[in-house]
Amino acid sequence: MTHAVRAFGEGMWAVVRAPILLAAVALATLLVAMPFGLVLGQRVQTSLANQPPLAAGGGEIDPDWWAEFRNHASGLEATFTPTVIGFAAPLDNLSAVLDGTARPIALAGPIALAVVLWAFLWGGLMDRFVRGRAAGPRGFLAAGWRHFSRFAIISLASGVVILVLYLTVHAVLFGPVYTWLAGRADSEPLAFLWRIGLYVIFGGLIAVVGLVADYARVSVVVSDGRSAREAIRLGATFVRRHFSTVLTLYVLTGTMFVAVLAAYGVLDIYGGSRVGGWRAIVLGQAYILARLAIRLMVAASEVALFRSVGDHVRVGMRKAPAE
Amino acid sequence: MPTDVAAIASGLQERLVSHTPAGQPPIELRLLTRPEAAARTERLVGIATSALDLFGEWFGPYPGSRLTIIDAPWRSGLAGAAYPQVVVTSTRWIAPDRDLTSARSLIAAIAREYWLTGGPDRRDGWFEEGLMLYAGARGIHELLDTRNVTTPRYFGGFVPLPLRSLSISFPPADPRPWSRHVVEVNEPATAPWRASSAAPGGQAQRAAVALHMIERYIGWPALQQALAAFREQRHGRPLSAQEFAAVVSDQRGSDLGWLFDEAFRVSARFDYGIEALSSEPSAGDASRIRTSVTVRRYGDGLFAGTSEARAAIPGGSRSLPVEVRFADGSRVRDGWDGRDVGGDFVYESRSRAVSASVDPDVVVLLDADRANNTRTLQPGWHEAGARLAFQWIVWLQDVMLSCTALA
Repeated sequence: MTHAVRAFGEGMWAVVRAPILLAAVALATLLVAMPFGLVLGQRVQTSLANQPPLAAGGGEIDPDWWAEFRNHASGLEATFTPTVIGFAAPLDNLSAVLDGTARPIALAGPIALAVVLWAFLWGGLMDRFVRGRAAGPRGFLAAGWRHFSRFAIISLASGVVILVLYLTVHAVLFGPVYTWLAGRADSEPLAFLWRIGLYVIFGGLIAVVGLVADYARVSVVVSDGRSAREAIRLGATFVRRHFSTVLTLYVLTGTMFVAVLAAYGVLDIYGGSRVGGWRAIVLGQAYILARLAIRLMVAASEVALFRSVGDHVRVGMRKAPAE
Repeated sequence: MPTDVAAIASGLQERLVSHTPAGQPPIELRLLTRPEAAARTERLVGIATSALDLFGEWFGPYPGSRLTIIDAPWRSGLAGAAYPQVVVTSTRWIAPDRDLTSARSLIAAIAREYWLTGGPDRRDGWFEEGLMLYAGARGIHELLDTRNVTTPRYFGGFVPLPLRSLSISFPPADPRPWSRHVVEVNEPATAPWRASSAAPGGQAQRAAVALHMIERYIGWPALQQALAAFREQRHGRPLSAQEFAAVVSDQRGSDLGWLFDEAFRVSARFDYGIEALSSEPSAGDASRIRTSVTVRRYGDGLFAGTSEARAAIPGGSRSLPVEVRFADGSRVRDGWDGRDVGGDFVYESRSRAVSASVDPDVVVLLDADRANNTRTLQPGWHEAGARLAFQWIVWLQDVMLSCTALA
């Protein structure tokens, strides 16, 4: 418990001390998403320009135009639905993750690009947190490149495990199990409670996979020279050995995420905004920035925990003969 | 009332309210609600009485002296159902004030009451269903107005989020057409209580959109009077599209068979568009601009505008307006016979054309592709579109973060 709280504090402090790093990561994620947004924006502008003059005078977005646009949309354009507006966006994404909602195949490209970006960023970020000081842009890029291939393998491996979990455990939990439970629930709140219970079970499973991947990355950076396979094994060992501490830290950072999500919801719902208003966009980017800050904080606190628990050297040495 | 509905009703709390729509006999409202939803009873009463007033004014007296409103559990799949003198809605556990889902279901169900016929001799079930879909959607727009916002549900459908910035309905003075498809009216599409399937692309949906289109063509006052007259004539007997067409034609004093035949023919594909638009200086006089517009009919659905044969009208019926807008703010409106495969319009002006539109008033709601109805030479920058694109970028960033957080 003490280790987790201290690591949490250290992680928070590490991010507070690195505002430029946070801004750079935010810019990188924005730049990766921007080309797709520009293509979509061009298509939207063309479609709006060809609205009947009757609708063009309306000023705001016409839901009928939107329905027409969606009827003829394919690829990424098909994801342009009312759920992109304000707080609906994170709610839709979180719900899709928990409910296992299938996403259009066109999203595979942006997601693959994001996985590659983060496989690179993690190296530079964790190197920064291990050192405890900035190594400059050149040092960041060098660290990112040095760990890239191993981090990409770790992401791929955990991605495959998560996919298998969705295809098997999720399908059973939210198929026959939920149907059976909801069928016996005599009220809507009880049925929702059952669903939340299943979210916790499935969420717990994918969280464990994510944690193993996280600590595998940490072990790569802390003890450089380790292979991806060895790092995953070490990450799993670390999570198993220090499960309560790892879980406590996870809950602490998870609470931060819930708080940010709730704050975004309150500001968006009660703040009042027009369709995709500029205020809503600023608020949305502020939410993304906060999410990134939490992500960096998670990485920094995991590095701190890994080092503070102090058995990584011992675990590493024990695993060494197997290499 | 079917046995499953009766079984649901048997365990509910009862409340009686009397309501007298203007100029009509009193109606006894019998509300059957779940104990946990008792607080929402007042809202249901308010919606039900408003709907009875509205539909009474539009279609004539309510068919009966009693209306039972059942607030069914969320998983019953009965929200929006109607049986003689019984309607069903479903209030949800998490339902913020702005979530009008149960109100929409209730209005849709009450609208059905006015057109229910049933019986073994029902012939045009698709038309009856289409009429009920149309009446329900129209009633919802009229009663809920700008409060009627899109409300997606998340986390297994338990958590709603009303998007108050995206209204489904426009204020009555707005010339744009109301949405023809309202989820609570259309779903579940294949419920046993429907006169026919309401699935997208089916005959009933076609009839519903056709009625919206007829309303835009002849105007709501004319269609409302025709609907009231038709309902009085049928008096509970099965409804037929042909007889309805005859009533509307009688009311209008002109044969509208051309409109009904094509609008109700499912295989008829309406698609009009601007094929080409150019606006260049004239060859002989550079100060004059020559604008050329080519209109095209891409589908086999015909918006003729008349029952007379095409050959009998040398210049065409001018059933479809073609509007050209110029950079100096002026505009020219022409007419084109919707039966022709194509048509060319040429204008000489001092200003360049900005855009050309066929059917600029959006009357032909059955047009399969309205994206090609307008062509613009100088696409403007729509701020709302840019804002939405940036919103989408935020959404995509969040998707990327969510996916990479897992792995």
